[in-house]
Amino acid sequence: MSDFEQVLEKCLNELASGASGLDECLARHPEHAAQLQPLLLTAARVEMGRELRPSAAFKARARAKLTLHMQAHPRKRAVSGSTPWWRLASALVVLVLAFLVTGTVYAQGVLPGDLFYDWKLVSERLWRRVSPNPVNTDLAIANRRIGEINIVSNDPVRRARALKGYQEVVTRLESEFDAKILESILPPVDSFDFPEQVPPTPTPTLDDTTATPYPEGPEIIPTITPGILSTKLPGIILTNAPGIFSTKLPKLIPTIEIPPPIR
Amino acid sequence: MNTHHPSHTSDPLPDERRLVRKAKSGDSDAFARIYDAYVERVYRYIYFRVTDDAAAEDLTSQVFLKAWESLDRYQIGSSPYIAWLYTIARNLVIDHYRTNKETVNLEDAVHLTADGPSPDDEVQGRFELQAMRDALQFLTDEQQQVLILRFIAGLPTENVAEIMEKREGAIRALQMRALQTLSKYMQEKEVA
Repeated sequence: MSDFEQVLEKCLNELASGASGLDECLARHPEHAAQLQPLLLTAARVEMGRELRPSAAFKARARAKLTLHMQAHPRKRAVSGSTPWWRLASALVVLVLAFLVTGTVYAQGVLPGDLFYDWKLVSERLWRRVSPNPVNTDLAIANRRIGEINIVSNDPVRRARALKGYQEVVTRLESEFDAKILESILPPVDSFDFPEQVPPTPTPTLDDTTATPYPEGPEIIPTITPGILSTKLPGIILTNAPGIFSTKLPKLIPTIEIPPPIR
Repeated sequence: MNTHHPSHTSDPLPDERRLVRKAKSGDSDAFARIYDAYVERVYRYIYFRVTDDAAAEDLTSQVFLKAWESLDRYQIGSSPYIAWLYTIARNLVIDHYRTNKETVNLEDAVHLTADGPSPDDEVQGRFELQAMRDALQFLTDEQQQVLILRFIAGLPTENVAEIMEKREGAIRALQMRALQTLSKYMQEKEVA
């Protein structure tokens, strides 16, 4: 911007705001006064245009036309309570939910070492937490780990990770089984009423021993029959069994084939 | 020179934002109040941009119809609402010239426009306004816009630059050249 442009702009602004008059402005810039004066006078003449007013008839006519137009083209009223902020927040929530759902669905197919594998494990933990039957859920999770182990068997790192996950599930299942079984067996066992007089166990004689088809004695296989099995049962003595039975029970994992441990 | 700067030329309505917000949500009464406040300013801008009074009135009316329809596009607080109305007016004037191929015939343009019988001073006032309107026709389209928006609408350079989609420096340069051209034209006319 040239020096003259600057002086002109300054004088126009001062005149517009009433800060100074024409003569004052010219006196302050004598070097430009000759050029400034006609331009400032012209600007003042243009300002006379502010006195123009449209006729009242026109204003009324145009207003009536506008009113008709607004009635014919009503604007959609904003729903109360639905401010742009809320709409934005709702859209954001929908987006986040869609992302979570899509990510979770995608994560179910990934393998150990993949980007979304941790997401898969987290989703399984949530699944187990909300499941009405955590044992069944753990069984399904264990089967998933086995499937993963089979697929990534050529990659030791990934296989190790899948195996670790599998072992975690098995450990959890063992504790669940113990707790569940005890919970279902103990009450009937404790309430079983055995007879007071238990007939003495006959001491086998040598003849009896030789006559038996099992020279090393019969094999005692404990079976779980709620209501009958008890430490009080004659002929069956479970040694080193605190309480009734615990870790001595055979492992009950009916649907899992446990792969051989890694050496 | 008129050293007084009337505040009504560029100051927004005190409750402009509230009215615009209500209008945006469909309140036609609020928009009618905006019309009442700004119709004269819009009319003035258009009057000095066209040579036909009927066209000035018709275009002024259209500005508010379009403004009602395009309320969604106006962002409250981005600029004064009157600047938005001037932008609509500017585009309508451009369309008007494009459609009608209107050319300025200065001999036809120099005429008095008055509503019914007027006192002598009003006739004189009208005559001067018409003379100014005719003189402005000698300027380029952009020079006209700058002078009208700066000195008749009373907008600061910043708003003029926004409406005309130019830099403030370019507006100042246009303003100086427009004043020089207009000043020369008026001096020649007075001598003649």
